[in-house]
Amino acid sequence: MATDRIDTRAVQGVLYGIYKALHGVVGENSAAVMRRAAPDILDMLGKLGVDFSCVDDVNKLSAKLGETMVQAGMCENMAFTLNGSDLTADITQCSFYPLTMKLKEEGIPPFGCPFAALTIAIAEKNLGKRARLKFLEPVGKPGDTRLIVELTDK
Amino acid sequence: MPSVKQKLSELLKVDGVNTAVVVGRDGFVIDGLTNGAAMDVEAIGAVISTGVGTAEVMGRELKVGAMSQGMMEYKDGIILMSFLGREAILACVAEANANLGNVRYQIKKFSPEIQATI
Repeated sequence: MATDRIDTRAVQGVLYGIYKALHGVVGENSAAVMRRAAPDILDMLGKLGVDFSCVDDVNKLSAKLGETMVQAGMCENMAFTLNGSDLTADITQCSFYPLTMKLKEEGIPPFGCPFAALTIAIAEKNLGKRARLKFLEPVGKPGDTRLIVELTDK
Repeated sequence: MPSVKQKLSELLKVDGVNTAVVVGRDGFVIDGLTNGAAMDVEAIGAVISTGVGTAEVMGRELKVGAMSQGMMEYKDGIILMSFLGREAILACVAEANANLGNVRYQIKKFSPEIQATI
């Protein structure tokens, strides 16, 4: 199998079709599908050897998720800051930026952002918080993105 | 100002209504109450949000304008859904033999009050 040399263009092509179809069927509420999918993505990553079970506080979440995303080639850097109940993640040079921009051109919001989905899923599963995406927009240089997740007690 | 839960609790007093849930478009359950029935909050959030989303798209494709309220009848109950502004949805479950006219009227009446508490 060629699992270690997958081209992100192939992944983006597949995701483009899925996200566009999903948005065509569910409309503005597509984010609910991603929210539902995120815990399963987390489980599958665990089965593939990417284990987040050691994450039990925000600092570990920052370190582990940031490191994992960079190692997986999803971005060049992912840095977290916690300000009150807002967890901000600054993503540098997201590998899916062309896909995000193409979808945006077609009026489709970035509801399928894996960075946001995993941050929310880990916060809810491992930190025992309720987590909700508040902000997700490109900021700074092309390829850079900021997301803010609001964490509240269950 | 009353909380979402207080308003939902009032809605549950409507004859035949046994569940009331407020969900964000992203599937996040803002609050929900039932008359004793167990509720899988995450699953409910996703199905309500995507169900309404699909119904909204259906209306757009069939050119019948914006959706104001949705209703689905099942063997053992009725599900009614209404928008609370642009970002949230109110879903209620009523008994199959509930007075549908009254339930619809009450949802319409309560919706702005609940929206004001979000």
